Amino acid sequence: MSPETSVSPALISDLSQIVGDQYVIWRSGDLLVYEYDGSIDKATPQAVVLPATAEEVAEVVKIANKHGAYIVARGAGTSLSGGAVPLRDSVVIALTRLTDLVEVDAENRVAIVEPGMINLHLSQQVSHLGLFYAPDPASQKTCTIGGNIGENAGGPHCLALGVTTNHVLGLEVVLADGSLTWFGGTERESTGYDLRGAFVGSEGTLGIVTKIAVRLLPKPETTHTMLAAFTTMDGASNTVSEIIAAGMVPSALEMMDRKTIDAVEPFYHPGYPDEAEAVLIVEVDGLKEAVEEQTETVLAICNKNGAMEIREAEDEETRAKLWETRKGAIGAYGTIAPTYYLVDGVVPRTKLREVLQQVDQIAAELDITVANVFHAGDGNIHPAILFNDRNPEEVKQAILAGAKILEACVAAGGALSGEHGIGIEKQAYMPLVFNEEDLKAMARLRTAFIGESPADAPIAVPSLGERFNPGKVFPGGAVHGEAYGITPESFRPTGTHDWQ
Amino acid sequence: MSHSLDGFTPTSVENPETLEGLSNSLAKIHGASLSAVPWGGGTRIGVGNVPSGYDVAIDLSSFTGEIEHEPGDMTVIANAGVTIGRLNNVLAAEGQRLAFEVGNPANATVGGSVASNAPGHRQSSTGGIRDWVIGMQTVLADGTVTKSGGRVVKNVQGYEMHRLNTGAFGTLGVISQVAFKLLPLPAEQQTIIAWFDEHDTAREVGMRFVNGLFMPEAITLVSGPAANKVISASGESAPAERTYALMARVGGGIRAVERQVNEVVGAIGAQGAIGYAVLSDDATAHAWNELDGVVYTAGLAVRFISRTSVALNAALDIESHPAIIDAGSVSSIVDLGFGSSTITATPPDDETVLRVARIIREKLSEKPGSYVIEKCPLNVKQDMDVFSDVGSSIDLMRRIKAEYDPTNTLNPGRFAGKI
Repeated sequence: MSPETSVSPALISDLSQIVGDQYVIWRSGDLLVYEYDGSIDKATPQAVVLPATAEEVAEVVKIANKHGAYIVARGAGTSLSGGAVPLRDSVVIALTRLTDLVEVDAENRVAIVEPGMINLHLSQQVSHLGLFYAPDPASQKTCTIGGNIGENAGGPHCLALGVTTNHVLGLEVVLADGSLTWFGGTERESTGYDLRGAFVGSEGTLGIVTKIAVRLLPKPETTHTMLAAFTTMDGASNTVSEIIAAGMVPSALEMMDRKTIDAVEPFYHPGYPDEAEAVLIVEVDGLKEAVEEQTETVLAICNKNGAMEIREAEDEETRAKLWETRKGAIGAYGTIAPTYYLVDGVVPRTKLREVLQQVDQIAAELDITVANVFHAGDGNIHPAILFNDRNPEEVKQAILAGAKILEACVAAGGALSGEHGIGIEKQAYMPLVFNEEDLKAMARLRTAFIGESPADAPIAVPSLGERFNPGKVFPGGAVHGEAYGITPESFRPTGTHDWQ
Repeated sequence: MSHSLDGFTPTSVENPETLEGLSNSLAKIHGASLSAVPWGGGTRIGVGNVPSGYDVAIDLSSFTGEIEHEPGDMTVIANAGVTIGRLNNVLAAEGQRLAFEVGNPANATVGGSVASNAPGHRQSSTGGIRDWVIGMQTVLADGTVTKSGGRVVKNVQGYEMHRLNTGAFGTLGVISQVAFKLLPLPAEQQTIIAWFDEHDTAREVGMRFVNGLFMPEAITLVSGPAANKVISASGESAPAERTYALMARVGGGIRAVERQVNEVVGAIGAQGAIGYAVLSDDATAHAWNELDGVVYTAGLAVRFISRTSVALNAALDIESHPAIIDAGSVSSIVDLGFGSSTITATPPDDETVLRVARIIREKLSEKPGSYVIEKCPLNVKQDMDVFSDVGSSIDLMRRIKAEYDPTNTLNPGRFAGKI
């Protein structure tokens, strides 16, 4: 972490000329809030700049280049993988002043927004047109669409509608040399390589997005939400499998375990049955007739698998009530422990039960508490490791547990991340899934975007390839939990589980 | 199969059956500084610019291997040479299907469809192929095997190379295996075909659904001889005047399909359609296949992708151009859900095709969006880039090509910007 004195007055002066004094932050006390995101990692930036336009972002990139500084783009800082943590004395470009809805074309269901727009605000601003923006991360009240692009964010309703990348039509991007260009446009396909597809989910390592063209969807005619409580996890898991086997893709299929039920009860008083070991939320939407047909099937499957109580909602108010505990679960973990580490892994739907049992075993072996709330429909699990971050030993155990859980996901044929990204958290685990050639092939894309320093470049010169968001995605970039004294030797992934 | 293309005949053909075989073939080609064109079923091999070199054909039709279908996970992994038709048959046995459609599925392969980003009618509702590719294995020009993504329906791990390779026409690597996310087969499907004498009326009815209560699986506005063809396919006789046919395919549970058919029939009746037909099952497939046939048999087919309203206006603009009317048999097929227009024409000779192609290119270049000339004689390819201008990111695309295929081994010159 850099002391205040390491800031170059020339850099600050140059940045101020672009955005004005009040939008350059460099005093150590003021930088504190930019050290963190939603993960457990942290690092202090050299300075934070808040540009107001795409052109200013481009100029700031040029200034950072001139001073040889690394650059980290930041939205609301809700990343759960350390995606917004500014390693290596970076200059943070905070995009929170670029919040405009630039264009709405209702007839063609297209919107163009600035990256600092809060995810939920877009749906709110187009609601009167009968439209909505589909990707809905749990943090949608605070996270930005620019950040969603970086991490290719998902959400509960991605089961049927897809993640961020499926809804992006085009991107205006500031490249490494400070030039502004568009990838794609406002149409579904564009000529040449799919640069927007390559850019979405690249975690801010390839450039900075300054405008985003997205698809909007018409609101469904009917939505029906069901919440079912089960005495066993098996009952809930089997219900999930049978719903999929029945030829349905509900709009959401979410599960909470007993520990999560315990955490939410004092906050929201849902009054779930004492014997409930799992609560399942199933939402179906579309035409009234389709919703009726699917609702009948879902209820029959829930009953067959021993649901002890089923609640249903047709209207917004009741639906919000049913979703309240699911959406508030993460916050409610505060009643159990001071800190949580929300792991994000994916397993084949058919291996859900098996991997959750392994998660329980890992928790027992390491003597830590793990609560589960997750997207059951697409096998995207989110074990929340609950610990006290003031106890270094607990931190170590938490990080070790996360590593073991991810290893179990990959071994089951799954993925390291479903929606949180790799960031600092998982870069060391990338070799679990990808071999050296795979990673080299990915690195070539970054080289094409950014360039690469010559092999004989002096060590003091920042590595050109890592110009944007250094230390993320690729293994060896950083140490997850370094702020808590974790060293690379603390744990090592132990094998590779190629999906081929 | 002959592997001749755009006046080139390769000196040899490789027929790899395994990943190792494919990797060895590429290493050999690369080592000898030759250039190669990967082939699937050849259904879309004509899409692309004239190659700047073509020594070896890599025919992947024998690279089929095992199909790994996981019905409970709604995923499938298949090798490049598996045909889309065979794959869908395997999936249908478990009540599932690929989310996308392609023309000529009996011959089109997984590799060719993904590499060429093949369009299909269901893209109205489910989008393009790239939205359903969850993982991919590719072999680079020097024979190196690489992969990205995963086999689970949701994965965000590292750069999405599979999206970059979808629609890259094999210029960055040869696609060897693809993992797809699947959809359930609907219990029932029906197609409503309604025809109108006014373009605007047909358009208004169609857009009402696209932006209304429900999105049909496929919804298309067809004009010209193509409209007559689909009307005839529905068993009705087509009017003598230029006609605009609105085709909507709906799917789902029995009650949901009934409701959708009623909604569509009600709307077209209220708007004064000249006639309509409701088709079920086999008849539905037949009508849509007829539409594909219009594109295959055309002398010229240009696909323009834009916002739907722009795509509609562009089609109308071009098909009412006097020089194009004179050239004969111009049809347009506009996907109202996806936002694309395919304009087809069958001019009497190559010279007229070129003249028409130039007019279409000029018209489309004025509008926001992108186009690709999907079908044309060689003289058109020699005259112009069959892809629309890439714009300011062309330099970056060239750098990407140089990173993955520095020796320009794979499909040289055939891609956008003559990459």
